[in-house]
Amino acid sequence: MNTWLRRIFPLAVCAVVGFAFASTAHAAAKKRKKAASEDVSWEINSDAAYVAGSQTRSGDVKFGHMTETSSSFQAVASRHLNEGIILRLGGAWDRYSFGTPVNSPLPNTLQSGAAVMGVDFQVASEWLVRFEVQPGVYSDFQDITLDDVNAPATLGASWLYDKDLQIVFGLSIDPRREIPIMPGAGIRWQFADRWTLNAILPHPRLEWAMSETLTLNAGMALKGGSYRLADDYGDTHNRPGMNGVMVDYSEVRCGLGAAWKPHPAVEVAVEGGYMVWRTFDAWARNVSFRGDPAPYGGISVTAGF
Amino acid sequence: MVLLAVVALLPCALLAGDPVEEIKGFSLFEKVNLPGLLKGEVITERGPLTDFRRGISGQSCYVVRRPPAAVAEYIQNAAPSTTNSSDSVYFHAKLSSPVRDSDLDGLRFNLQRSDVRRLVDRTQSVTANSTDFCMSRAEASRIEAVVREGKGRALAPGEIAKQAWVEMLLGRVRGFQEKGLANIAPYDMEKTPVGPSDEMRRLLGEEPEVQAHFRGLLEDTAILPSREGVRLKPACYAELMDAQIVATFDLGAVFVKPLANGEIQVLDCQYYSSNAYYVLLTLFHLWPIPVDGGTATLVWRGDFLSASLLDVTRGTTRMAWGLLMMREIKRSIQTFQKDILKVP
Repeated sequence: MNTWLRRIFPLAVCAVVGFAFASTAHAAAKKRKKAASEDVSWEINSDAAYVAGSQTRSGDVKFGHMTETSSSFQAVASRHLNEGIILRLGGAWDRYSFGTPVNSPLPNTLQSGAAVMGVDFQVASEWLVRFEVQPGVYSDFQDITLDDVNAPATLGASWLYDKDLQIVFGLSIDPRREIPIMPGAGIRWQFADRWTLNAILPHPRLEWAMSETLTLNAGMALKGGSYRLADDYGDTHNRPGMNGVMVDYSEVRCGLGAAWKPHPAVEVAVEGGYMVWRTFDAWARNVSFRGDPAPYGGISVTAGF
Repeated sequence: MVLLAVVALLPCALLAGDPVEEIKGFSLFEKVNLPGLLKGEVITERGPLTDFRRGISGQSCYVVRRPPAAVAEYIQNAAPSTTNSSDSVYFHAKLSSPVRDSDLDGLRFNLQRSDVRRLVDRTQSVTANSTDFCMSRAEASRIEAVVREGKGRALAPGEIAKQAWVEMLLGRVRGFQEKGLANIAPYDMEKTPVGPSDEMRRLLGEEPEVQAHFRGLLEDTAILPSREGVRLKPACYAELMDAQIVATFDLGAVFVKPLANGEIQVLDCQYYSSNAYYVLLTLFHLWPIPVDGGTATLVWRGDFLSASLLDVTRGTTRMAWGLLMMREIKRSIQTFQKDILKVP
């Protein structure tokens, strides 16, 4: 009798929202006779990866092999302000640690520690919008000053067509980046019983549900950010003009992964493949360094409760 | 004669003012644009946040171009298509009262479908101590015995699964027909035993205005306590459908309660699901409204679902889940509005 139900359940095992939701302004206005639940929910994510030695060069000049250990941790609490608005508050830490050769012009650390502040809300019956800003310190953490403070933000909207198809639009805003505003779009499409195209940045992938608890995937991961080098960086690295510059760090990884859910609220994922693109772009000084492709492997744990 | 002429000229909205005001009184809708609904619009709202974490609900309002009695009859007796592959209802059977063994004779497992294969495979591994299905320990133990016996007779896995599930489902139906909605056998194979009857009461208890509006129906079906017990005879059904990665059995009953002034209340209660969810209740209130010289039906509908997965679905994801649920319900209503017009 209620055949809609058999259409909705596969969604329940997936994370739907790449970006989030917009204000309540529906024509058939709703009344909420009951106060919203005061429950706080948590999203926690932690990951670590290792990239093997990669030759680093600027133009034709080589600067030796560089290894990388990347790690991150994010914890965000969500609470309904009312039925249609969710407040998100938390913290995020991101670190790229590079094993650089002696006399390398490149930093051995790029790191950020930031608050996560955002709001998710609903528009009409089909749109969810998120605005999130992450004010914090984005630098090499050699000498932290107010100049290292940045506040990148994300504005996104998800159009929920049905349980199989959602389309996402967004803007990445970083005032310290060479291109301060960058648009993006993505799609989540379950086109077959066990197949889902989850083409949403920064981790677009094709997924195959091997079982209810195990999903295999193939895809990409886009990583990076904008970081400020120390005020004396140029002086200590024999690179005049590099003192206190902003560096846009970009990395693209392609590989295969597996995600296992030992519990509905917990996911453990492993992945491996090749880092196919890496750049350190001190765009204000017209200086950039690139890394050759290198293999990588990583693990992540995500929990929601 | 003059009075009759005046009544005939009254705007539709005035005549329908009572049901619209009634809907505003107990539902989430503050505004109900009847002219828009008459044009085929369907309005929906996801239900409020509640303290019952594994419960979720939604409400909708629409018009059907048939009188309430025809709408109630269609809700109670129409069977979803089992031939349209996009609908994914593999099997639907109306059940006799009392149920007969032959009522489920038409059940077939199409093993070319991966979700049906998973159902058959997982049935073979049911034991009295472990199963992914919603059932009691006694039912799991019985299925284990049927599987063991079937393997001993070298029956095909599909045949074994059919025997096991037909016996189990008939037992559940008999239990419902004898003891009613108030005493549905619990799922004590879950980590914490779940009683479908308790789930229904929890779902409705979180929305007291709706519960109060449908109190008479809920008491007549014994979901709510009543001195008089069950006073409505339901139309029972069984289905096999594609609800998740594993094909899912469900058992349901549709109760119809005529009210004064041509109004009708209907309860479609899925009191058993083999996996994916615990219970699903759909409540309808049907009002007759005059339109184009005939009678149509203004429908308020409430869907109430209890599922274990909702226990760990929070915040943003839960909000999105609720919106998508209402999108799917809206689509099914729009299909219903068209399909009922094909019935002479």
